[in-house]
Amino acid sequence: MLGKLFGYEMRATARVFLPTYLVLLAFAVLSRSSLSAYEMQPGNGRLATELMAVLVGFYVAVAAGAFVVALVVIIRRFYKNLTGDEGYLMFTLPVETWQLVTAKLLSAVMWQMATLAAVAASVAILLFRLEFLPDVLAGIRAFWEAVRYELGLTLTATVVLSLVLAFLSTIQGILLIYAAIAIGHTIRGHRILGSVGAYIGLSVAWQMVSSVVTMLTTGGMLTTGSMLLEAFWVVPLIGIFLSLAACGLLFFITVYILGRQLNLE
Amino acid sequence: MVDLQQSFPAPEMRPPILQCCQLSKIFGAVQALNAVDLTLERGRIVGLLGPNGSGKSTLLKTISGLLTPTAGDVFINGYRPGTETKAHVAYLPERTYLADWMRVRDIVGFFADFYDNFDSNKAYDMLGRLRINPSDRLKTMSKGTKEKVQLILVMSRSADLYLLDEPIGGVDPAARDYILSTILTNYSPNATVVISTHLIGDVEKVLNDVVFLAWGRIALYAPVEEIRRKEGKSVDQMFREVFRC
Repeated sequence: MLGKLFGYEMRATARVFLPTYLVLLAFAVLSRSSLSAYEMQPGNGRLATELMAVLVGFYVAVAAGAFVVALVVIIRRFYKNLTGDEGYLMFTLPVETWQLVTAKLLSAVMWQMATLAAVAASVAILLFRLEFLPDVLAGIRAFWEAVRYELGLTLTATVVLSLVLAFLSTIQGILLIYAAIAIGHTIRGHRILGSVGAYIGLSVAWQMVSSVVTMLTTGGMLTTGSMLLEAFWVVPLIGIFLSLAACGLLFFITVYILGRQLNLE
Repeated sequence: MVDLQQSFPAPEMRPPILQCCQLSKIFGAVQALNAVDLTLERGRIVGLLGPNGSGKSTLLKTISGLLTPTAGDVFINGYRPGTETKAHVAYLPERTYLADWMRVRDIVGFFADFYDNFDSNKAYDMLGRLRINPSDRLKTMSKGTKEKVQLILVMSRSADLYLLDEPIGGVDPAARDYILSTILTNYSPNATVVISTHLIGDVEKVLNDVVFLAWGRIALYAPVEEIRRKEGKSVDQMFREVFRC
């Protein structure tokens, strides 16, 4: 059932995301064309310069907008499809509540990644030139060499662990929204206000807990400067454990409330 | 709390299709359901009747698992509302609950995907009879047509318990007759259908039993035949007397 739910989730959200990506890539191509035209004939007059500026401006707005669209769709989809009128259908399907939440989470993570990839692709369209390729490859190689031989293996571990932490933080960010909506659902008559309040409360609580835990576990290490570089990978590792715990707790809150305290009015 | 599944172990002694035990639901200061005790047997068409705000929708939503009871219990076929009961309960809400960007065909596919007891051929047959194009999107349809689509979807399931909240409220009188005959011809003799409505005259002829709900309490639960025989009144007349303003 999870697979089916995920499939419908992707279909329901793709109709917003795919056109957004198309518009983004189209603006990147247009901006690139206007930039190329300008570079070939720099003295082409004011109109061409202004057109280029406007197109690039639009591109930047659309690229920033893509992330906003992703966030809005993730919030709206969960709120409308589970706690709104569509919840009457979703919560009468013979599926478990955790499956409903997981399907939405998986699709939200997929679209966050896809949005990042689409924006990266659009930047590449706008700025990339074939003659840059050797330089880019050389840069990547130099960075890798630096990481491996000059700064030692611990930095490689730090980079890899930081990437894992970034991915987990994305999941945590989405689960924070879901848990806030679920908590808001329990406050009759003020559900949106309750969700906003819950979001702020959960965020503050998370900041406090993660600061205290990080300070307690790494405080000694950071003050002893000698250990700093060798053991710096511990910092993202602690972050990973904390984030895993937060994800588990937020997922539990969401599923518990929607499963045991549901009140669709 | 008693698990009725354990109380009815033998297959020949199946639990009632629906049992509400001291069921209460409070919204803020409003007591929507007040210690409702109700047991429905299999193979009955039951009219759930009551004035606006009497708790009809609240009762059906609590049975469907969309509302959490404040106190008391609900058992469907011996189980509390959950994944097991949702596979056997076909619920028609009083509002549009389908995503309006979807086409009718997509929604039929959705129901077929999630409900093992859904019959797509039956759904397409009924859609054809009501001249509803499966390629149409819901957002292009009138409210009445959307209600017809929802009813078709619900009645295309072979469920044990149908909970129909105002199934004929928003449709024209000609369609009402078709809908009622659809309900009558599409449920199996072992299934129970609960129809909540205030259009009593229209549904009276198809009902076996009636439940009068007044301010969250059961005011009357009796077979229609008994009301006619003992009281010498139609359900409509009886309703007007019980709920006289």
